[in-house]
Amino acid sequence: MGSIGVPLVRTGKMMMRPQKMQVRVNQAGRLAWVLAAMWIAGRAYAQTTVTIEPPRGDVYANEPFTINVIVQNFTDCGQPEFPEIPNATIEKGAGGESTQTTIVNGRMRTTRTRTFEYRVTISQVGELVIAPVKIEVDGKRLGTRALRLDILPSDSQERFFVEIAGDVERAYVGQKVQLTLAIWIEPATFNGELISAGGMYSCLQRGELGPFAAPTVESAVQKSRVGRDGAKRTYYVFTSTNDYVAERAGPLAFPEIRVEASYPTKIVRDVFRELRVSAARTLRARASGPGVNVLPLPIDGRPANFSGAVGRFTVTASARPTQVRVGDPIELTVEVRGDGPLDTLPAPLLASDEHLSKSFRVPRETLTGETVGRVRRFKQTIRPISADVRDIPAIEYPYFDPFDGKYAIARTQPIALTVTGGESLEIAAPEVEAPGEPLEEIGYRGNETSIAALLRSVPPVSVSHVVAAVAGPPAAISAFWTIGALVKARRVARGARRARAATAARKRILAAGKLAPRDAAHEIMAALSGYLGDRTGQAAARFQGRSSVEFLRERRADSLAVDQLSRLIERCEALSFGGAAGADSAQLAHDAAELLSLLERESAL
Amino acid sequence: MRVSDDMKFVLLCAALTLMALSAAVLGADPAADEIQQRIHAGLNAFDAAVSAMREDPARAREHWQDALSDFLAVRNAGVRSAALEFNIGNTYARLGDIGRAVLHYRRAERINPRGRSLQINLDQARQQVTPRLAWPNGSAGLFGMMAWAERTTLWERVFIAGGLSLAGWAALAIGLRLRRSGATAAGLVCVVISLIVAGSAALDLRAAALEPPAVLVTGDQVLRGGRGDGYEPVIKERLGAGVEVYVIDTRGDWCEVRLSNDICGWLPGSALERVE
Repeated sequence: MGSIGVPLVRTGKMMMRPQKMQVRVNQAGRLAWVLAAMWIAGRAYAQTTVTIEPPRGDVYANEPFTINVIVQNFTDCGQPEFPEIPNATIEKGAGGESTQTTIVNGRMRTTRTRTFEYRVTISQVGELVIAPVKIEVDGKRLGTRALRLDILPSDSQERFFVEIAGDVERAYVGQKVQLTLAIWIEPATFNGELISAGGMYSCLQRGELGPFAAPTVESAVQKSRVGRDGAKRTYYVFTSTNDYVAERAGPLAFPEIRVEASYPTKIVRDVFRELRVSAARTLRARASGPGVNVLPLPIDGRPANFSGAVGRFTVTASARPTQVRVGDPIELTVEVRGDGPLDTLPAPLLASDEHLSKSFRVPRETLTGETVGRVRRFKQTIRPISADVRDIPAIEYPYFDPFDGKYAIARTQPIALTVTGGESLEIAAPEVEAPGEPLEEIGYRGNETSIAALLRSVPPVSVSHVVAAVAGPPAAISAFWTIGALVKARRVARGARRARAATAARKRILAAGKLAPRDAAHEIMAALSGYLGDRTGQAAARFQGRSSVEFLRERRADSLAVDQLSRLIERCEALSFGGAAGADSAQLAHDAAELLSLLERESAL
Repeated sequence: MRVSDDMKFVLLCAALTLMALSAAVLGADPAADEIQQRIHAGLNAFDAAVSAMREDPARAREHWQDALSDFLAVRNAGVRSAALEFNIGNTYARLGDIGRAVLHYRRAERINPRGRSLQINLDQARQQVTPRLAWPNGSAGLFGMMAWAERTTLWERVFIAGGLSLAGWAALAIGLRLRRSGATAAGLVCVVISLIVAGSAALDLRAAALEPPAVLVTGDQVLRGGRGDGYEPVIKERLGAGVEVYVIDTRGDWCEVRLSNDICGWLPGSALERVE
């Protein structure tokens, strides 16, 4: 726009207005186009799209290639319906989802993109048309365009293959065989020059190598071989060697081994002058070989104490200590050397050795053993069973010699011992197992597994616990006895008081009848409150005056007795605080005595 | 039914006594879920170690370390059971730490001396200890010589003494009250036996307090005539891990110990761990 405006400034004034108008029209038109393009782009940007992405580079038969189905700008999307392809296997890949958020003029817009990945391997050469992939997106059924591909014949077996070779053609079960895994890969070229071994090594991808370790780049050698087409081809060969022990008879095979390579089909030089793979094809190879036939071990001539060792072995033994008493433990060490598989070498069956078992107690447990350098070492604790034992006899280690094809026995040298009997004051002679206990039980016993037993926590015992156990019972018995005696004494005292309540009250009432009326009233009231106190085992003061009437009502005593008591107390109070004219002490005492008889029959007291 | 004040008082006394006894005897229950999970994990790790022992000893050792970590975590949570101490001893034995194996077997023996497997494993561990000295008895003194005392736990003796004391005094009280000579005699016998049993437990506790048993957990130690590396060795042989001693005195970083053959000397305190 700036380049347009510069010549306008140099024109005359008269011409200036129409030219400016023209420019403004042009500018407005261009602005409209830009806005329209932005609007269309924005609509397109906001619109839900489903596309199919073809594989990069050429597609070969029997080589997997990847097809992506991409859904953009959606809220909810189902699974694509990938069409059936004849003579092809389709694996669903991991795929993925991404979210992009943009803010334009304060408006936030979020775009979701989901990619569905399909790995397709087709065996047919020629044109392949993949029908549109249908998918349910935001309630609508959408589809991709059809995809047309040219499937080329594969030359992968010429470019990339895996071989396993053994150092023998025939082996026995249990025999150690040296196997070599070789990965052959034809180097790609760039401008007619071979890519380096390191570069091709980086093309090797994940795979399953079975018992082999991954070959290193240093193992690479360049070799030539005539291909199926008769042409001489150059390869890099990456190797890995491993010792292998066949566990079953039959042809040795490793069907689980497979290797993948991302083989470059297009190489470019980047801005740093470094070579970079811009397109690649996935090559897969399974291992062939090694052409070793594994034979079973023969039955004929197998020694009774043969434990399964296959190879050629020598065996030595040592013991410590060599001066012991009967029953003392001797640590017997048996060391096996040879070309067999040491790490899986079976232990000698010491308990089955008649010569050894005759003079020694030998545990029957299977020995673990340890590999120390080129030696397999087994340790066992044996005990002389009599003072007559003079040596540890030669220990036999039978094995199968695969080179001679027959069984052989390696033997140790006897070890001289000095065994003495008798008791020792200084050294304890423990009874490890009870008489008749099976030999298998010699050694450490297993764990306690009962959760209840493991959690049965026991607090420590202190002297106070012991004292409490001894002194507690007599103290408790004494306390209960004392309490019982006190209760009984209290009960007896209460019974005696209750028993003499009526007599004492009657005596006081009788005496009151001879007193002056005012004094007689005092004495009779005191006699009645004393009687009630004695009957109930409480203080007499509690029953002074009308409180005794309330007490009897609370106890729900006979109403006749309560009324009579109430009237008598009224009369006594009247005599005490009012005038005593016309009063008769004897009559008052008589009435009180009658009331006493009524109260004596009262069960509420 | 009306209950008198006296009866209420007696019942209250009885209830308080029962509550106090229950709290003292039972204690807190440590069976939390986490503890049970650690126990399961420890047992599983131990089993995994046994399985891996033949094929991969290094891996088996890792499993035993895991099992030990779990068992010790349970112990640190306050669980003190014979079975747990036995399992810890087993794990240490498999790891080759005979000193601590003997220590935990002894702790298990202190809680429950009648475990058959425990005795076998303790004997096995002791046979790997150098020098091999006569093994100490669990009890000391007159009562310690009695076989039954060695085969019973302290708690069992406390309960036996308490039960016999209760029965004896009750019989004595009834006999005296009712003038029954048979009950009185039976009561006296029970009380005397109760005193003997309690005396056995008290003597054991006293012996453990005066000379607490300990185990050498760090091997290759020299028993010296004084508390310092400058003192002459008492015996020529160096003491290996697992040697069982009694601690007579502790001064600073050194402990005066008595071996089971009554030879005394000094050892660094850091090399010892007490059984209790």
